[in-house]
Amino acid sequence: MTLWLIDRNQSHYRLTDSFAPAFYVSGDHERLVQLREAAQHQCTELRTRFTERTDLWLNAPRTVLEVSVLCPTDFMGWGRWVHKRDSRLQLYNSDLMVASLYCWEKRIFPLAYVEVESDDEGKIQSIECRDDEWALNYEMPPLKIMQIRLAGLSRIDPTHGRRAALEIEMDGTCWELDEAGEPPALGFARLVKRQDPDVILSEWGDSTILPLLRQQAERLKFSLPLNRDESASVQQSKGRSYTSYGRILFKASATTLFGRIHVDKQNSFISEKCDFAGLWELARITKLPIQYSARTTTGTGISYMQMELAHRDGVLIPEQKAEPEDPKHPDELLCADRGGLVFVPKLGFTANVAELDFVSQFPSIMARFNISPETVNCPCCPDAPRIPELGYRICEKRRGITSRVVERLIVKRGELKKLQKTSPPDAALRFKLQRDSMKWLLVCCFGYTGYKNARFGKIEAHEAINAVARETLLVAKEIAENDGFQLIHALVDSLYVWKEGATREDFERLAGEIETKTRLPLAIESVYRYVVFLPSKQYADVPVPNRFFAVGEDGELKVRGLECRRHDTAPLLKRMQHEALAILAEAHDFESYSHKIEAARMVLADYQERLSSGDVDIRDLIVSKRITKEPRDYQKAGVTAIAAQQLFGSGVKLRPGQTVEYVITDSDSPVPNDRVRAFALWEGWFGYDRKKYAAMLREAFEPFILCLPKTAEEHLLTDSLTEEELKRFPLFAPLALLRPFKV
Amino acid sequence: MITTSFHEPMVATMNPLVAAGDAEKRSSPKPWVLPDRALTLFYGCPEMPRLSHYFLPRILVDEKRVLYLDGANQISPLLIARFARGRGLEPSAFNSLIRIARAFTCFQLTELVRRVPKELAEFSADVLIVTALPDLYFDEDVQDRPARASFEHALEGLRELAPLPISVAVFSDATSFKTKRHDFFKKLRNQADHILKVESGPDGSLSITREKDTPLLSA
Repeated sequence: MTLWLIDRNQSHYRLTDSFAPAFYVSGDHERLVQLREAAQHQCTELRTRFTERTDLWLNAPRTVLEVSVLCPTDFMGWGRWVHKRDSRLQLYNSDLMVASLYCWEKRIFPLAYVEVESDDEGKIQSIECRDDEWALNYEMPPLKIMQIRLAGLSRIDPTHGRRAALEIEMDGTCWELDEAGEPPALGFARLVKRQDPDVILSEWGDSTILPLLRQQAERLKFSLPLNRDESASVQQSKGRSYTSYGRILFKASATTLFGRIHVDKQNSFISEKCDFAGLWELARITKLPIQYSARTTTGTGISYMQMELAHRDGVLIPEQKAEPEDPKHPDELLCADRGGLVFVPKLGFTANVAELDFVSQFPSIMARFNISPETVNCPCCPDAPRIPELGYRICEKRRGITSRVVERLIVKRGELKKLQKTSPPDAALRFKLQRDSMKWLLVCCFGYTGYKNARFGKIEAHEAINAVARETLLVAKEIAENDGFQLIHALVDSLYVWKEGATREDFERLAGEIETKTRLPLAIESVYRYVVFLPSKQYADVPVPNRFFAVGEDGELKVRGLECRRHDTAPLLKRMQHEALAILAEAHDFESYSHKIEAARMVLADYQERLSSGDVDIRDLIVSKRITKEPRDYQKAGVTAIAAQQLFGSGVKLRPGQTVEYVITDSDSPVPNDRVRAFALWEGWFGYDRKKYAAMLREAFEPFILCLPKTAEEHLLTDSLTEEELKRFPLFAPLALLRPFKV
Repeated sequence: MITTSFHEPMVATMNPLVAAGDAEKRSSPKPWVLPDRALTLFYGCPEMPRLSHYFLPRILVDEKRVLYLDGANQISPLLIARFARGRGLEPSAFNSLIRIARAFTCFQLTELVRRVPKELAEFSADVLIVTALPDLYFDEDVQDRPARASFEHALEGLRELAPLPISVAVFSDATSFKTKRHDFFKKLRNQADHILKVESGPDGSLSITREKDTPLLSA
């Protein structure tokens, strides 16, 4: 194993350590004996012994053959060798990341403060962790960070044809390298050698910058010193399309280094959301290598935390998820296979509404009620307490692995929250980012119990958590209604309640009562001056959850389901909505809202004016859409398909799940190719579809006027919409006549 | 005494919804009846797992029990309830006669098949229905080697059921997949006692062609 360490003086050290990771094989004893003989006689790289490990599902010891691999780089290869020899044998712990296994064994973690003794050749004699991954406020290694990016609009994928100068920034100094001077790869190589950064933070480094620099260096026949470790070569993995929750997504290729960290902001969910502070936190608690941690899902993080706990407990970690659903009758299946509970919102404007949220509800349920895949319907507790509705039993004799993992996360998040409140702004921000990264772990830990590839998943655990959540919400609703509150809306783990003249103290009393009864933490997310719940876009009288805007007591906005929250919306529309919302946020009640809407309309008018006069930056009109198939496979000439095919025609390789950016040029054109223009091919093109963008602006403004009486609505309709357009916007149906919007 | 016979392909055409009712009265041919103590493979048109539902009423009306291993995640308890009501019965009359377990990965489906003898000790089913075999093993996220090994174990599990008094029906969409693992389906075909190809016509009718019919050995 190679370890890179950095001291407080920013000096770095490359050390090596001997390590023999082990996997376990179970099966017929005779077959295990044969395997052991084969391992002993045919190679010198393996050590074997019979030992006992615990079966997760049976909670009982099982005799297994332990196979230790003396050369860690061959670890997975030997697992495959066993499978190839005898496919009837079951392997455990055989496909785990060696770096994580090393951390587990040595009780260290990435970015930990350690004390090391080594010999003259850099071989580690002893390594001791002087740090704690559960610490809240820890010392970070003094990392030197170099940022690299392409000049210009960063959100446009450069693989679509955008070429720009390479910008490099370190310690406040910037360099710009372009093809006009010496080859950028040469300049970059010189800078890397001179500055010797510990971290390269890039934008599009994985898919574009580093591969292009490497290609150029190869062409010019010089070595690009991306790795500090010269004995290893840069690792480049391929991008791939995959399906998740019914959506086609694309995971870009990855370029990872040895002895140096490369993080691509455009290919790292966690560093995009939670910056470095979040990424460091995640790497520390999941014990995943930093570069891997930056690019993988938080689900993998939670899985590795579970596996570490299992490893410590001597529990066998299966290669694949094979634990199936328990057979049940159709009516039982119908009852169990349900999600969270939703009470549809009361449409329109409601003043003085409180949102009460169960804090990390699903993880809290898992921790509080010990719901973990192995504790549901365990064989050891036939008389254990049962889950409401479903009757599933929960083990009383052992604490579940998932419950233990989430419990620690919940506690640490809670402590960070307290620290955040009492810290100066800089530190508070860091604690917030740490908390946020843990939130993403908690968010996925529930879904992972039902995820098909989760090793410690079991559908019954998923169903049990949902059943408890439904029960909890019902109890909360009953308590609120008994206290004279009206439930305006409820969505799985949050309730929106209203009562005439209720004060914050009234809402706090209600929250306390619900918390006592349900034994789950409940907090007031906000008391809103007003909330406007919006109907479905298709059906004007059908309420939908998660399409609303609300203004807190302090004027803070909460927006869900509007265009400004979507990733594919043109920046122009987003800005218009934000500006209009900022004005509406000044309203305190329905009357002032009705006044403020006039000022908001001026914002819309201003945007419309700029649009029609051509005074809009073309970059503000870019629409981004994810393609769901290969460009050639599109049958209909939709705007996304046309843009994808334009890019494909110009030599861009696009894969399902990737995003294309385009500008609408003439949406009604009989020639499909004239309807939109891929932004990467914009050069030399001119003109955008003013009518279409104007209609999009009006549509984006609609949610703000839906709760107004018909008279105001008519005013806008007669002002700016034709009859034909009216048909396209069914939301303008006379909603106000059907429902009383003002409470 | 050992008897052997050769059967010509037999074709039956019907509307499945009508056939669910009418077929119960017919004696021969009986396309909605599963052969006793045999492994029958249904394949051909898309949505085969859904088609498996239409075999249930006849079985359940006779108060026979069904163990349904659903690799396709297509089972519809509501449709089963509708079948019961359509015959003037409470849904519970049918529900008590079926047990369902879904598999979301090929490894889970193999495990379910391997656990059938244990499950039969608790719930003595007369019929075992398996869907998405081998379709679930075509998952590209699963490497070829483990998928192959898992599939072989599932086939072995089915072979081990042969001595038991249970009819096994496999409903597969395998032929609608683009996969390099074509041999999985061939192996399943080789192992099946009966193979019925289901094709849908333009008018919504179904034609069922018997492609293989292995008579049982009888003493």
